[in-house]
Amino acid sequence: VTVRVLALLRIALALAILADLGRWAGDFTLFFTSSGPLTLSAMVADAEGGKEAFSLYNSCTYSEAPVLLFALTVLTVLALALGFRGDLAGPVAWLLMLSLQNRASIALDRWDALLLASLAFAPLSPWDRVWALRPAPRVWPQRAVAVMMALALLGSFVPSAWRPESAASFFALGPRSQPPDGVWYVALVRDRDGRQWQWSRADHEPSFARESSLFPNASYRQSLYLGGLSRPDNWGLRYWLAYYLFKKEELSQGPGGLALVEVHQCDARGHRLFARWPMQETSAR
Amino acid sequence: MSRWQAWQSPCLWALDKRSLALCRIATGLVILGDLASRAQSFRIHYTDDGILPRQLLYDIQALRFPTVYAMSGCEVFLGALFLFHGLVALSLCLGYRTRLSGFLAWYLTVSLQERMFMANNGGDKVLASILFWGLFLPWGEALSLDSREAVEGPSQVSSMATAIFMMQPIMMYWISVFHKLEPTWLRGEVLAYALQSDFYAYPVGQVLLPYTGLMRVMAYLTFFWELLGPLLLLSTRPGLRLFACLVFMLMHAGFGIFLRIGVFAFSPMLYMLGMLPSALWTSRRGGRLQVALQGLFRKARPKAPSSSGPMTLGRPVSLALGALFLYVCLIALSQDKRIGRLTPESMDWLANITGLNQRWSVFIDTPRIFDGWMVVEATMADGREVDLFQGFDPARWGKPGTPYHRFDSFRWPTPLVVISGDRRYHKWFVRGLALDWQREHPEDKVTWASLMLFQETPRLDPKGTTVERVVLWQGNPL
Repeated sequence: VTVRVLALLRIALALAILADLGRWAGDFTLFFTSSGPLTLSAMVADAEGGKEAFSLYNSCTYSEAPVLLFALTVLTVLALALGFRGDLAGPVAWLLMLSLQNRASIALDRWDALLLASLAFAPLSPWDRVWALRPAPRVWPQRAVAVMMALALLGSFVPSAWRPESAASFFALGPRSQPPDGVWYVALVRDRDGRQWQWSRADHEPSFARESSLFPNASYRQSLYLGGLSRPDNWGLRYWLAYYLFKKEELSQGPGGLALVEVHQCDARGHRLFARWPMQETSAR
Repeated sequence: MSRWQAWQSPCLWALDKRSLALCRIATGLVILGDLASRAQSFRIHYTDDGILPRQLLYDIQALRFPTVYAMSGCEVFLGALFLFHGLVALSLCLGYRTRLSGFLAWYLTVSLQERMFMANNGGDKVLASILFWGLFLPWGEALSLDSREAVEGPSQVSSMATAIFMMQPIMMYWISVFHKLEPTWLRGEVLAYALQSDFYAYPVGQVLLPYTGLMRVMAYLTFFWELLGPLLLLSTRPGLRLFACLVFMLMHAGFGIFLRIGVFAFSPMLYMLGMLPSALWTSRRGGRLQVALQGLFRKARPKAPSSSGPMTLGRPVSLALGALFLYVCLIALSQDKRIGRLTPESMDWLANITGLNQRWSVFIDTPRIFDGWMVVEATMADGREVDLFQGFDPARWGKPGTPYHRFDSFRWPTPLVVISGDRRYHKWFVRGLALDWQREHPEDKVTWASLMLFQETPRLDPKGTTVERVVLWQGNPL
């Protein structure tokens, strides 16, 4: 493998991550702030592996912190693309991407694991020898690189207690997060007088039709998120979705008037209760 | 010589580098001791299976410091972090890469304090302040693995950082005196109330309870010494400063003998060590100690590292530090309800992000100080009833010899006071204890638990004390 090919790989990987960050940015409030359904409490309490998952996003509750971390991630990946100290930018980008993915681990798919695994090799590879603004000042000895790559490869097949999704075995064998084809989700709101309407559409008659879906044009990450909620291990997070919808509706309707929000999982055969807030009645588990 | 240079020359604010080095060594040791003490309650205080899991932490307390100890709830991660924290403290103690070690020690220590905010007392705030101001002090330029000579450059140093280092404890004592202008202190009854509390007092402290006159004298001595002693700390006469440092150290040691204040007995002493006068090091004994310590460091690292030169602070940094200290003084003063907020809320991030959010109202309003004991009576699957907190099997409601039969550490009184006063903690407290019990007794399964508080009404006459049982929470905690 020539250094040019490695440089090309570095640039392509960085661009792919930048495109991915662009997609995340579209759902930033939803997935990275505590005003979305994935609050820090929700993630560490109810997400699969959330207790063990390491994330810089968990370190404080400033509302500006996720924005700063996200901006830092973009800058670091940009530095990687431009070849500015790739030996430093690579590990830092890996740490920031790991944190970002663990913060919203419910909205991941297998490609995310692959992106992360590719970044893990960054400090080992002489991929900023050419086409780089400022190459790394030293190159690792080849034998050390070979040993570390072998260890990393072996390690990648062992599911980590900290982050099961990061293992290559998960990539190969793990469950899909996408919701099954032909499934959609509808949210209904009921006030204290028993009146019921579609979430965020005050003049809309309740309906379980596909066009009444919660996210009518669901983004890639929103689809993954809904698929993740459907997984049995993440059932606890469904309440947070209903709670989030309840709070948002309450903001527009005024406090005290709402009785509950229900989210239904629908398909061509009918619908069933998926989540509700408040939780007096247990939802499907 | 400009006015600025004149201010910086050795004077009132001059500190000896060897004293600062001694302060650095002792700071490292205090952190190590603190970690050892915290490690006794590692699982139950710091992991997500403890009494303050992160999901509760995020809901109850806004985390205003980027806390590495909250980045994961995994025991392995947290254990490794504790270990790393200990190595950093050791590195600071030895003066190895002192600036980096100092920064890491400050960051990790404040992180740890934030993670288990309930267990902090004034001593933790003192420790955090020493580590922060230490970032701007040349405390690695003597008696360290980093220093080439016994002392690099002149032995005395004077800067804005040394001035703040001296003023910080003085500010602490004077604001504390201001807080003490309240009836219990003015009547000299504070020790009687404080020592009566089983939550805070050691049995040895309670021996003093019958001697009300002595306790009153001790309270007044503390009050007046905290008021006037700091003036002696500012003295340029070595004898007076040494006397003040020693008396302050003795005072804190005395507090530590009588009360469960843990790190508060030691951390203020660190400031005193840093303020020891140069004359001490030129005396025969001081000189011997210096030679012996430097010999040890030379032996440990025969090849002297390349020196990065003595630490100097430019004017912008000095002015910024001065402004920060002024702000910290206002923050500390604002904690008194009679004064109220003196700084805008929008500036709070500055105190939080530096770990300098200080409060010096120690042992104020003591008649309301908490006293009594806690029982967490749990029913096991086999029908046995045990006390998850005290560890008694079978459980009993009577007053135990110590309120911390199972967890004997000074890191417990403050959390218990916080927990008993806020119902949001109750279930989580019992859950943490239940998980801990089941881990230690794998054959047991907790099916039901009841959190009970036996509250004693503190009175000056111990014979008149009444006990009230309050059930704070009951249910299945798991």
